[in-house]
Amino acid sequence: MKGQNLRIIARLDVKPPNLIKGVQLEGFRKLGDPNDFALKYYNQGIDELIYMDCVASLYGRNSLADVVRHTADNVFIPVTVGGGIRTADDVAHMLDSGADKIAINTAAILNPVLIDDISRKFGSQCIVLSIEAKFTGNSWEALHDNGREKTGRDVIDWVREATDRGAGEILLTSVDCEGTAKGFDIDLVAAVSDVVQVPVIASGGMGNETHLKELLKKTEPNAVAMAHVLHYNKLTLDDIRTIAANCGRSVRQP
Amino acid sequence: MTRTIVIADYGVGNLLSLERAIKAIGGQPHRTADPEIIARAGHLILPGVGAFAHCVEQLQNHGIKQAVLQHSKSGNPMLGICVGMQMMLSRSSEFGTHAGLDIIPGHVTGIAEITQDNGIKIPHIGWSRISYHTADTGIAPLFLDFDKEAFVYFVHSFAACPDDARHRLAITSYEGHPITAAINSGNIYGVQFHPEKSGPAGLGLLNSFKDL
Repeated sequence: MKGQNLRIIARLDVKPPNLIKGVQLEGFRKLGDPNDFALKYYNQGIDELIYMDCVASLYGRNSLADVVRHTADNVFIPVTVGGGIRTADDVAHMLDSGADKIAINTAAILNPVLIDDISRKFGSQCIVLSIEAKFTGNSWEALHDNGREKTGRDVIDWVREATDRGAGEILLTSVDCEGTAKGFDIDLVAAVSDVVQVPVIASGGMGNETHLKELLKKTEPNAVAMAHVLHYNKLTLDDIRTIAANCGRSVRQP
Repeated sequence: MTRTIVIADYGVGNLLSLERAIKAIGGQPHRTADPEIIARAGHLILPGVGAFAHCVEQLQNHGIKQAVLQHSKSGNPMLGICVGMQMMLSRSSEFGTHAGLDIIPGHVTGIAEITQDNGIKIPHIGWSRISYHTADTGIAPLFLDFDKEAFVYFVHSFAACPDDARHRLAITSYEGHPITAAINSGNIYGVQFHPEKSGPAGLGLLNSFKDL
């Protein structure tokens, strides 16, 4: 078994108070209480959780902070939250609510210095750069606002700059694959992993075990985020750990 | 009687999870910046995330650095977590040289310096097994109930190098390189990983700490 243990992450897209499942970052279905899903995955030995808030509701009743606070009651693994975090105060608020890491896309693209500020104040380990990448023919463009807004920024250039500024990890979502359940954008994962020294989380598109096998045979992501296969009970965590081990990647045995 | 575990709160990191973890093992968390309470705590946890210098500075700004030092001389159990553990050492070379609490002699340096390997991902983020030595003193009480096969969660770019190898209680292997996972001197313990984020294995470790 070479390399570091592969982290298996459940991605929970939320429109508080509901867990939802998007289709290519547009349109969604309500699946239930996110905390029920979080607890179920924790009990099955998931390594980490990512909450992404599609409506950027950080404060008040029925907010993302509420969801995370409930998770902290009985789930004792790392939790990353993203969606609508714009300031260092927002970061402090989410950490106080039980989050360990913050994923940022829009605010960082519009104001890259925010990455320097947050990493200086809370540490690089706390800031996950969230990338929504769209393939444009020979490269990838970074989008934001759930894949709705173009930025004109090349993904490779942007991850280089953002990690220089202090981003400690990359959540790499393919806008083309997200919600399709037709497989990962493997070239994208390989291209980004090659240019950054920080860990990369591959996200978007996993619909069955073949997709994971192909990803792990051709690339070495540090973590894989999945939604569809878990939320719809297509694969168990045991299945996923077995697949990863068969591809030569060691995994945590809970 | 429910045992109180004091958490030094100096405005750094996610303390809610730590409080909930202590509740989950039947302890009573008491989060405070009151130097009196910290100095006299039966059980004290010193948390910490982010930059070393920032944490030491915040400890000072909150007026609890002396209280933590006082507690360290009391003989009562103390547990440093992540940067809280790193601060127990004499100094760190993270973004310049900065003095630590010097409770356990040693220094903190980058994983890249320790491993001399530029090909590995930094920060080290993930779950790993740890191995702890039993040499002359037997298994340290903190690890008595710890499952050797269990994985714990690490997230760090810097690591501890105690001067005296006997203070290095446990190591983990990151891409084949040994990294300090826990330090110990008497009733003072420090762990690089996050027990409050390490599932049942981490809760078990916190429970052992509670029972020290």
